[in-house]
Amino acid sequence: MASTPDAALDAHALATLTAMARVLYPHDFLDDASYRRVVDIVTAQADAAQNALLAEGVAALDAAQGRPFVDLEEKEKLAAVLAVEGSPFFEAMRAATARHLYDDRALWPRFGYEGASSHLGGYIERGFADIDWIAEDEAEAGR
Amino acid sequence: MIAPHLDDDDVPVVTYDLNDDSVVVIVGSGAGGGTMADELTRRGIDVVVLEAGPRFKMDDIVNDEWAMYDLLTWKDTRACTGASPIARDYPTAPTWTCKGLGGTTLHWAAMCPRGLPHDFRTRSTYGEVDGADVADWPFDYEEIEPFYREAESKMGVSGRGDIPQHRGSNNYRVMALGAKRMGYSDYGPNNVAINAVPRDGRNACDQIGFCMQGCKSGGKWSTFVSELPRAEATGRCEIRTRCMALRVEHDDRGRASGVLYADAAGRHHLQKARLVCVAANSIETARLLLNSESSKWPDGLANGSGMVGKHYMRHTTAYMYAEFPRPVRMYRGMVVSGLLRDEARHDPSRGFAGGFLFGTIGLGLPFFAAFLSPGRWGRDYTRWIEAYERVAGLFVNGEDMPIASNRVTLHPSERDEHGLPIACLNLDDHPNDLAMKRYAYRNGIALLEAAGALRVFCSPPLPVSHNLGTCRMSADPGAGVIDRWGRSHEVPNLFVSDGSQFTSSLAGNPTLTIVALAIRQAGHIARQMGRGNL
Repeated sequence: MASTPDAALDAHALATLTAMARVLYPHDFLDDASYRRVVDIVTAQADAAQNALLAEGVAALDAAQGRPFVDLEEKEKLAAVLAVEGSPFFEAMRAATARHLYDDRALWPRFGYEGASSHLGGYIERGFADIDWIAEDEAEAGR
Repeated sequence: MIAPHLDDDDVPVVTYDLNDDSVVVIVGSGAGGGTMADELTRRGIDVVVLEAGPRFKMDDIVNDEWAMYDLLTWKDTRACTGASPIARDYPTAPTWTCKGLGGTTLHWAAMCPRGLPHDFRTRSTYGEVDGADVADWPFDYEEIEPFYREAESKMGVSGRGDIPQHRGSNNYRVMALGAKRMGYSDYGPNNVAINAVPRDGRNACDQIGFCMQGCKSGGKWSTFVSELPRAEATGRCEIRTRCMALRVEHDDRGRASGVLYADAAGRHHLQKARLVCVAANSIETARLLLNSESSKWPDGLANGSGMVGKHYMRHTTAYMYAEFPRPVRMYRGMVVSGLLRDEARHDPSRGFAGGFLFGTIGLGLPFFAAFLSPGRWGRDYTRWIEAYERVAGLFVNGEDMPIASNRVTLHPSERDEHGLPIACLNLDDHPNDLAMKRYAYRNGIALLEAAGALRVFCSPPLPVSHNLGTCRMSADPGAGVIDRWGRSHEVPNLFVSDGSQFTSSLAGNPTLTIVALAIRQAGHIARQMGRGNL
């Protein structure tokens, strides 16, 4: 998804929000583009008030440790995010990351999720009962 | 005049004049309303169904959790207060019901446990419970039992009668292994209204794993695929979608005379009626009656007792997710593949009244990440998400206590798009609910560990899909809203036909009981009409 340049959010702001998204839901095997996609969805949906909220949040993250957020070590980044935890800015970013990061179909295989199945005939012939560490007779119905 | 049809998706097989006061108006098209439409039309009674949402097409249904949440969910704002975690986690969206033809049967996971005999005699069985208004239903299990059998046959409940049962999924096998090692004895593949083989015009389930997203497989019972098409085929059922009921009107004699509704363009119409069945799901049913205030009923239609909206119940629920060393893949196959009934009994030695069911639950990755613990973040949380493929899910569905202060009221200032007060919902947990939940967590964790779990995450309740009790049945007119047939104690031709009727919540999921009650109520209405009494 292409991001729309926005006067309220410059490249620094977008990079900061991207780094924050990683602190919120960190997965070392994901690259920054996956987190940047979340930020692009957030900014695409933002109105002026929301942009102002995000810009203020970026400023708060930069102020938290006295250095730009994007330059901080992981521990310092965590401390900076904890400093804004509970704010409307934090909650907006947290909720958006929780929803959109894990709604990215391109990432599903990385988490072992196969997604849509009805076009493949479901799982009835493709492993809905293929668990190999519990024998079928261990799972017979009681009574 | 004929009601204008603004929704292109409605091609009515029959139309009734707005002034035709010979029709039964049914508000809502879910398990209660959809079943009423089928059961009344098959008895030769003309009905108009008002459905607030649209008529979806099978092409609208996709295997995508958030897309279907956005498409199917009733999203009107509510204001939820109280000490329940639901008020904390979902303050403006405490419930998870659907807005569309078929109602919440579009979303339900199709579990069909019967109520147990003690569920209908809770006051006689439990005695008085402090802080709760525990009451017997006005009838016993023996009276509803034949209607359970009829409902199971209609809905095609697997493993009941001669209806074929499913094989359990991977998630089921984890539960069964733990259950066996715990010494439980009453468990197996779940009894679900999902076809294991083609039946009654529906496909066999392909174990796609998206039961709660409209069932693209076409194997799940819903009023959308079964009852409503059958009702329309009789030529006696007009369905008006995107039509939101605003008020139930009454005449000088205190009889319901019609339903005022807003169509898709927001224009108001009054459909006259011989009889009105309200089946809008427990929150909207109560809200509709409360909004139907008049000089005769200043606190809301049929609410002389003051009981409309009170005793809201939503089941004691809990969710546990367990990480195993090797893959489970809980998303493969039906969402609630397994059921364990040992704890459904009433056994006060456990420290609480009533019982509960354990069942399996399988979520896709998007919902797992969202609902494992709303609000949680950070590396401890994402370690769980990274374990997704090796996670099994177990849920608890148990009785919750009827409390007068758990209730639906009208908001003093906030209005919806039609200018009507939005619903407020107060939700506190009774000590009995909390004791049951603690016991269920303890035993659920033990079961999962017996199956080899490395660790178990205890999740808070999801937004409520089982909304019950706001127009409770009572033998004493002062103690409830409706009688043993679901008929208002005060308005003789007004019936409540959904889960609002429940006097107690039962231990198990409510839909089978809602359908059984609707079959029973429709027969009663037809008999009384035949005798000239309605």
